[in-house]
Parts: sequence; C-alpha cells; structure tokens
Amino acid sequence: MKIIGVSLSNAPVSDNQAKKYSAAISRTGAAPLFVQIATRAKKRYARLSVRNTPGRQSLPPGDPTQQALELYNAQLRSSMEAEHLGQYIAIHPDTQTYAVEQRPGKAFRALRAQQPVGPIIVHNIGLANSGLKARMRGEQPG
Amino acid sequence: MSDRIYGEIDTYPWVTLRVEASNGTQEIRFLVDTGFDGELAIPRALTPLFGTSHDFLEVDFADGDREQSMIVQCRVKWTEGDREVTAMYIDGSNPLLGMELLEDCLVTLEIGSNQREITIEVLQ
Repeated sequence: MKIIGVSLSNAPVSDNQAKKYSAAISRTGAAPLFVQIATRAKKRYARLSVRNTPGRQSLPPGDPTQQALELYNAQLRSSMEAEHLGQYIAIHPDTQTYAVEQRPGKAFRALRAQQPVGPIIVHNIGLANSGLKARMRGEQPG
Repeated sequence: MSDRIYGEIDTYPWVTLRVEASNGTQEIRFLVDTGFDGELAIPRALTPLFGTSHDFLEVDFADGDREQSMIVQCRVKWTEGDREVTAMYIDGSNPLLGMELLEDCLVTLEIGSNQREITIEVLQ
C-alpha cells in the first residue's frame, strides 16, 4: 500500500459564500440551493454509470468527484503521470488524502482502510485505452 | 473449501461465484475478461443486490472521453475463502471478472472438442 500524502487544505464554503451563492440564485430565478443540491444528489444516485464526452455538463461545485478532480489536476497530475503512469489513484476529498496502486480496487481499499467514512473517487493516472470504455459502456465482450 | 475454481467455456470463459453484497448473497455467473483490469464489473440490473454508494471510478480516455461508474464493495467466495473486492457498475448485461482478481493466480483454459473448461488456482 502506498499512501502518498495529504495535499491542500480543506476549503469549506463559508457562510458569506453560501449567502452570496443563494443570492445569485435568487437573482437569476434559479431553484433554491438546497433544491439544486437535492436534485443533483438524486440524479447522482440514479446514474450508476454515466457517459461524459467533451462538452459535457460540468459537475456541480462541491461534488466529491469534482473536488477530487480539482485536487488531482491542480496538485497531483504532473507528479503522478511522471511516477505512476498507468496506475490508479484513490482520492478522499473530505481529507484530501490519496493512495496510489497498480489496480483500481487495491487503490480504493488502501485508502478506505485509512478513511473509513466519506466518498472515495478512483481515477486513472494517464489515459485509459478504449477497451475499458467499451466495457463501461457494455459494448463488449459477449 | 476447494483450492480451485472451475468454470465452463462457450464463446467466452465463465465462472460462477458466490457473492455476498450489501443486500444479500447470490451466485453470479461472471465472464472472465482479461481485457478488464478491475476486479468485478456488474450490470445495473444487479443494483437491488449490490446497492449504491458515494464512491466512483472516474476514467479519462485517450480520445478525450470521460466515463464514470459507481463503485460498490462486496465479498466473493474465492479459493482460499472469502475475499473483499470492489465492483463497478457498467451498462452491459454480462457481469465481468477482471485481471485484478486474477492476480497471483494460475488460469488454465482447456478448449478441446470434448472438454471446455477454465480453472483458476491461486499461486502459493
């Protein structure tokens, strides 16, 4: 198991930021924040697997996947691609800790052993081949 | 407890594993897929058995696409006993058993006219 480290500080949304966000939503006539969050959570549970192509709708701020990707892209990508290309990184957005392993399941379990609570996002380091995409989309084999 | 897992081969090799998921235990027939580098991949139809989680696999592809799948944990009856593994939801209809679960195993395919069998044996 390789627990590589802890990165960044947690950046919770302050009360003032939350008020500004709510006010902006009110001005634009959008649904209240809590409704949007509830709707997103509902959609998230409904989609057990989703397909995202370029131009896709971006993930909402505060979404654990979004947080994990922001951490990865801003702080980790270059060093990970230099040292662990082709492996998998598991990221725990709540604590901003992560683990790197050769396989996705190992990376997940290594981090879950350290962080028993909270979402974990597993991400490939580098770019995956089309075979995995076909499997995720149910296009092959069989 | 058997030290080997046996399965059959039609077009593809298949093994049946006893899976203990969050909502029950069931025997599931998996296609052994050496092109899949995870442990298990399961169709959405098995959601009532495996449940849901807040954990996801996010994959970037060389063509710019990105795919996301929910990850759930379960236990499978393996040669040496129960093993805790991860399963990711996929859009397909066939449950897949991938390379990560086959690590440290000897996998034998016998594809004869009379005998068509796959054997999985954990290396000592």
